[in-house]
Amino acid sequence: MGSAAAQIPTSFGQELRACLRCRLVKTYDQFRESGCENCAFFKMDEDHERVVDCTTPNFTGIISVMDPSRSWAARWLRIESKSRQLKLSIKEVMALDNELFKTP
Amino acid sequence: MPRRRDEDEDDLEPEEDEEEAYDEEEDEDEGRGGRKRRRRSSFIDDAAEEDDEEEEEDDEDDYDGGGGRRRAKRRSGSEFFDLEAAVDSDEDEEEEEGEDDFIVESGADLQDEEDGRRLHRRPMLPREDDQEDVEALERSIQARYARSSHAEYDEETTDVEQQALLPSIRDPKLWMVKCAIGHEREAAVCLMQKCIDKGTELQIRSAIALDHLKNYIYIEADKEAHVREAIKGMRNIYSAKVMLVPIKEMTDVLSVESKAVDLSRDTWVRMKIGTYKGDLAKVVDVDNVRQRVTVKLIPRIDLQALASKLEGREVPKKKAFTPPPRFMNVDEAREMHIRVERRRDPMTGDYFENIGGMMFKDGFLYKTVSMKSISTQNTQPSFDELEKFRQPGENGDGDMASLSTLFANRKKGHFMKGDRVIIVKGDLKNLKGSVEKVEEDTVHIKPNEKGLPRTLAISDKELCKYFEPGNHVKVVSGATEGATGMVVSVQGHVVNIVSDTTKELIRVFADNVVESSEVTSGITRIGEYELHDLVLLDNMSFGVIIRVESEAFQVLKGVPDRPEVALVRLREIKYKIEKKTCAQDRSKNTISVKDVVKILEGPCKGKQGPVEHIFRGVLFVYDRHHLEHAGFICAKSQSCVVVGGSRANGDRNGGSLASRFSHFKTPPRVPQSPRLPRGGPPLHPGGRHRGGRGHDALVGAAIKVRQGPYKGYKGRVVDVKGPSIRVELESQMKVVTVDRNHISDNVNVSTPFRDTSRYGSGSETPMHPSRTPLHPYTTPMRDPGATPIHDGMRTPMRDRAWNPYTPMSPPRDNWEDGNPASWVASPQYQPGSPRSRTYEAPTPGSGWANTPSGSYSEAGTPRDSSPAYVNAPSPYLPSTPGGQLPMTPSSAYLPGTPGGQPMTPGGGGLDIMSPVVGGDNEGPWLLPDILVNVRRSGDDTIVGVIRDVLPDGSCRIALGSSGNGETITALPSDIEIVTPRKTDRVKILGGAQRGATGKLVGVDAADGIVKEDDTLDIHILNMSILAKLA
Repeated sequence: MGSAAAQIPTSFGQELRACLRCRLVKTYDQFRESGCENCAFFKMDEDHERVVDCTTPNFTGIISVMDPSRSWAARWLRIESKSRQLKLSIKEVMALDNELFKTP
Repeated sequence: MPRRRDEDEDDLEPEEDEEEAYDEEEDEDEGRGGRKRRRRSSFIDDAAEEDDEEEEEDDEDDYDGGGGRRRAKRRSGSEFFDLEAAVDSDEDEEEEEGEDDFIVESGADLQDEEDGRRLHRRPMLPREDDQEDVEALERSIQARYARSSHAEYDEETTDVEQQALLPSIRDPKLWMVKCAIGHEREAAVCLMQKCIDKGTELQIRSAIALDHLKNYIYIEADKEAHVREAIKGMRNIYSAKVMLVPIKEMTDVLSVESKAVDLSRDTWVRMKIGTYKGDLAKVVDVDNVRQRVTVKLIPRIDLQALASKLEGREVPKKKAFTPPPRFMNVDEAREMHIRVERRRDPMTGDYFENIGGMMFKDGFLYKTVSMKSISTQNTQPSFDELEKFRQPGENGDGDMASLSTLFANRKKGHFMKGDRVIIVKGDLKNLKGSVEKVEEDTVHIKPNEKGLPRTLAISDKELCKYFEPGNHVKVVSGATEGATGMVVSVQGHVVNIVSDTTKELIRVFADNVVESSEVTSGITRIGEYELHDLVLLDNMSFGVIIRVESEAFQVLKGVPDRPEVALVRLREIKYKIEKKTCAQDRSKNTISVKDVVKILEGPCKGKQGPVEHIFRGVLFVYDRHHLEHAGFICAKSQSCVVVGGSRANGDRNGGSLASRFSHFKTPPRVPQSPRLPRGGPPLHPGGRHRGGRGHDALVGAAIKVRQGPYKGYKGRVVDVKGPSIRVELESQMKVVTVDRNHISDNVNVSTPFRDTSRYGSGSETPMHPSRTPLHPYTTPMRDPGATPIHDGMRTPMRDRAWNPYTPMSPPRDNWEDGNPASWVASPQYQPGSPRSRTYEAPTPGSGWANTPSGSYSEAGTPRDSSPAYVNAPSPYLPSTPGGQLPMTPSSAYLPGTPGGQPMTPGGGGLDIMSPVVGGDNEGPWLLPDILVNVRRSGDDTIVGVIRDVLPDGSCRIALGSSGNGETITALPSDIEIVTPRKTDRVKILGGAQRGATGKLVGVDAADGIVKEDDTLDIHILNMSILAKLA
């Protein structure tokens, strides 16, 4: 992880997908190339099939969190998906839907 | 707050890392993970408290009973939190030993293992002497895990926790900025990119793009300047407007409801665009990756056009019509020389006919479209549509299966307690029962079969309403809505009904039907009476029409004890009772129409439903499940209790006050009692009766309610009945009954018969602060104190301006000295004196407002004896010397108005008609071209238009609202100005703008907002000096 930002999506249409575990939003190709920065164990970059399994294009909004520590929105959303206990420490583009991530 | 946040961070961050670390590790060497490490990680989710425990276990040597006790204590406290659940869930995940296998194992195993661990470990504890304590600890732990093993494996946070995160003023704010439509996500991502590129320069916190909100994105930042800085130079974002999202709405922004309609096979959808727009379609395949679905449609294909096109002939570009839906007939197509290929789909193995790139099977068109081009919400297929879909090669069973998807479209609250249902899916299929309780998505039903639990919780998706042949039902939605009839057969989800009206067979979904005793005969009204109307009958009894027959009504009479139904002919009905009254329930809460009440006694005890009518303390309650009398139950208001809050006027315009005040039942009495003698009839009706027109003079008069729940309301009297009068409220469009003694008739009334004393009371301006019953009525402390100040400030001005008779205009001292009687000695300012109705206006605002007019009347009083002064009281009288006002009355007052209320000097009692009192000295008060009501012979009034104002004050009036009737001459005393309404054209009768015409653009209590025609100026003028133009 480190402080480096996750990849920023390079296109904005239907190619956008969100990691099912951490909601990170990238394009399909980006997931294929470098997997999910947060959930490296998905090994999406090794097995491209997994990109389809571990990500979803079905989300209804995105949030670009520039300042995770001081963003109210990030805090508000994190709690909603508390089970994930995911704390943003880096700048990331995340999917907004909570519903999507409630039941694995 | 920032500080707090930091703490949060500190608390959570390490755990987070641990979990990450753990996840990764587990991935690498799963199974090898030692017990100890697992222990550790299993508590990782818990906060500080759990760390304690960890410590204890890590260095077991230090473990002692005291620690245990402490812990046990803490535990009990911790049970209030959600920590357990979190632990549990992690445990589960861990037990799975699989990285993406999220299936939950049964909690029981878990508990055993947990106990096992504990037991195993305990002998190693160094000090066992505190055995009891350890046992207690053990019990508490067992209890704890037993409980948590039952806890659902859900990850919802508690509301409390969520509450803690509600935005505060110290949090960054959300700003809404406009961006290029369709580029919302792009904008958000670009901002992120910009932020990364620019480093810490950008001070925005986050950017949010919501799919459902086109054209805007949200940016979170502390300051608007930061937002502006961030969006500067962004191609997609328009920086013209940065709107702040109110703090209350911030959470709404982020509570995204994902429309998680599981678009699965067999779902019914509707096409949104193209030729098939609005058509029903069935999903046959979903490609989530490409966001495309394959749907099955009834083709709308013009074979002729298709043939021409395939042959390469010219096809008119614009189709004049959409071909009707029709199944594809391959043979027919072949006949038209259209090439039909039969191909096998490599994926499904099914054969499709391919015609010009379109796939057909069994006559249906299979079309792959974008998910966005279909709508899944509220599909509500009608029976006919589904019938069509059933066509070739599908039996009813397949239909039933897909019907289940209909349920997805059901509205909330579809099932109600008492409904009979049948389970249509799962192990309990075909089990019948009745609904006991309805939760969000779960319906608790009481099964009819024996040997089953008392209630079962079933997902509402697996339930279907159930009817038996012979049930009498009503269709509540769909094409045949409103029809009633008898169920003759039930086929799965479909109910066949013989309509009461047409005796025809109707096929409807059980979902759209409710059991009801109501019988529609096709006609729902005779004459002016309609089904469910409340009517008064000949013999003074009343009731609700529950059935309309060909020549008569069935009326459920208003007899609370037992249901009594009468067959009533049209002529036996006196009139329809339309007035809306309120009643009190058992606990003295106000019941008004539409409130839901529960009946506590009588034959219908336990029933509950909305009140449809209230009359004489009798309620007519509508209960859908009451199968008699069309669902109506008659009950005494006293034997009911309001369920939930009464909405007594609450949702009506301006009604919040009323509803609030309806709770204050006593306040008016207490402070008022000393003045009761004064407030009583002798004063007011006295004034009224002076006109010699008896009670009826009141009818049509504008009054204000002084006491009771409607205190402060203004209205017009519509009826007088003994000691009570019925008043149509101005602000509420309803008629209420008030005690005759509880009104005052000061409000801009056009009755010319007034005595001067009214000016005092007149100060109850309609600026309603006086409504607040919380204010004491008479505060002698305040009024005398406040009054002189205001008076001193204001009176001279006013006097100078308007009262040429006041000998000592500006100097205040003069005023006081020279006119001692007028106010120092005036009884007006002495609480409890007969005059001091002034004090009825309880708030300081109106208190002081009273004063000027109060002193006015005072000033006027001594002069009453002197004929010269008789006409003085009206400051508006333009005919008086100096009558040309330097400014409009209201503006004169404005500077002094504390609350900025356009306080209405005239709003008080200074009546437009007051000059009439004087009679002979009448100036051209009335003006030509205005609409007036002329009183003729007796009490009836006729609308007319003033044509001329004669020198003696009387007017020539052309009757008729457009002035085309006969012309009469009337005395001003017989003329009432027609009060204009909003948007009416008006003529200004007083003030500086006298004679000007304009448009009444708004009415605020007693003030009218007038836009003058010539100058286009806006004036706020008292309504009493505005007259409607003919």
